Amino acid sequence: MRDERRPVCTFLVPLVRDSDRQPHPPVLWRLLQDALLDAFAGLSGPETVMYVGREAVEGAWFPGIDEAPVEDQSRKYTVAIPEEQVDELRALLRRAGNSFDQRAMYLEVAGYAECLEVQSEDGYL
Amino acid sequence: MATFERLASERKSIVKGLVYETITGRTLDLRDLSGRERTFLAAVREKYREKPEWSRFSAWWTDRFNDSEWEDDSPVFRICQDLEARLGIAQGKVAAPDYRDYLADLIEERYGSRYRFCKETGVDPGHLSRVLASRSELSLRTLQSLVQNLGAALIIQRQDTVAQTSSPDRAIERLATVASS
Repeated sequence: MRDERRPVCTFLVPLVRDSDRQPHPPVLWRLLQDALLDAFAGLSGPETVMYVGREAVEGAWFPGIDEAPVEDQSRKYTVAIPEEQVDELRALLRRAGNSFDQRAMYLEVAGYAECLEVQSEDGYL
Repeated sequence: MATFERLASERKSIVKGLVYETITGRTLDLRDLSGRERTFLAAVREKYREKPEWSRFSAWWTDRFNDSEWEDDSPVFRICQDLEARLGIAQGKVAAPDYRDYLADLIEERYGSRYRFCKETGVDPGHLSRVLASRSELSLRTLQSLVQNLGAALIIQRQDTVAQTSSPDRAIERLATVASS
């Protein structure tokens, strides 16, 4: 019998850009939603959540060891996907990281936190 | 149809409530909506009139849209995305639309996909992605050429006009006719 269990994945998309702390244009939220729905049906959320610095959300991106904590708002999305699609989600989030001007993206897979570092070669949404 | 005649026809349709106009001026034909879609939009409009928090509204309509099993190229989907963007802008969570939003919408409307647009016009897809992500810019000359290719023109608008065009209230007005028919 096929194992129907799916890891629940939760990720955060900050509401402002890393570089200039400005909000994102509408087109980016639309591209993200289109990409998520194309890849994973059954997405739930988003909800707006607040995290303060690096303590509130373990594993989330933080400015740096010597830098002050950053108070930030993010959109939190949740999706339950087959285990073999988790890498696809990671790749999508890295692309989203570039588009949303983030140095890292926070992801939880089945309760385990990950900080996805974003590189320019990961591409864009 | 000549551009002027087409625009005049679209303007009449907007006035009659037969099309929905997005923030970027894209028109979505509402004449062929089913009864279920009209009922859905009426419910969306009622929810929207409460001016819910941006993300809450997003989660609300997305859940219901997923239940409907309509395709995401449905005008209903694009209208809800547009309504959500208007709320985000009004609540200070989303930036006001700039040329990138217009460009992305025109590309989708005229070419269906960025891939097809880039293939047919020779635009580098990586560069276009970076532009849409505000990580790169187009020169004015390139932008003029692309926009012309898309059957549009560059204009300068006053900020208050842009704010008025993208306001949630404008969308509620636009949906009044379809929701009541």
